[in-house]
Amino acid sequence: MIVCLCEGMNDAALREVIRGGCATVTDIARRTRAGSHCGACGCDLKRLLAEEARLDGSEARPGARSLAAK
Amino acid sequence: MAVKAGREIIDALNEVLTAELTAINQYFLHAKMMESWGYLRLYEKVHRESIDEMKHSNRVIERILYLDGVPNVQRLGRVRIGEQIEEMFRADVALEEEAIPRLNSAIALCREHGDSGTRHLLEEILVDEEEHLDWLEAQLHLIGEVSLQGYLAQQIREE
Repeated sequence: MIVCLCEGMNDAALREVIRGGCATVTDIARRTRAGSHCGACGCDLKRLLAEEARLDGSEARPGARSLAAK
Repeated sequence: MAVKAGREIIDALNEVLTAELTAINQYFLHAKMMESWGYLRLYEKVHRESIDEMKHSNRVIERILYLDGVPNVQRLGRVRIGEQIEEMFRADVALEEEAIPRLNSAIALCREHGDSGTRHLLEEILVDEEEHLDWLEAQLHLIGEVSLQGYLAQQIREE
């Protein structure tokens, strides 16, 4: 799915950028310019950030449990 | 019709116009992508849908002007562009699924204020949108039945 039509960036490319360290819509805009033009994709960028944060969290959770068990 | 009622109906018509203008762009780009990939049969159908949305916009603009309102051609909704055929259909389904309740609400508003002319126009647009949604759902059903590859093989030739 194309997320930012102004920059022609799709969800896969944006997820890569988020995994590469962008934590906010502003970070993404600084790195790629996506979301910095008309602003129509702002909600989609926030959704992608939230989804990636959740994925990150679910990967970290087993580790957190093992620490708690110690 | 009271001034306030007229303004509410003009606002509702402008909401419908925004959705129509958004749909023109979404369907038009999807159609052109389909054409560039060689799915000429799909291109013809989806291009026609884009033109139909333009015809709806034409009628909505005429109605807003008749009601002494200003058609807002500046505002666009989210244009959702898929990168594969199935993704395009799902994006178009999302657009239609938003359009249908919006039209039904605007029709109810017209009924409440006794504006039969606008109600009649919106009812005609509603039926067109429902038919388009039905077509889109049928395509997704076909993809499920005959596989994406089987479906796409049927879309290469022109009508």
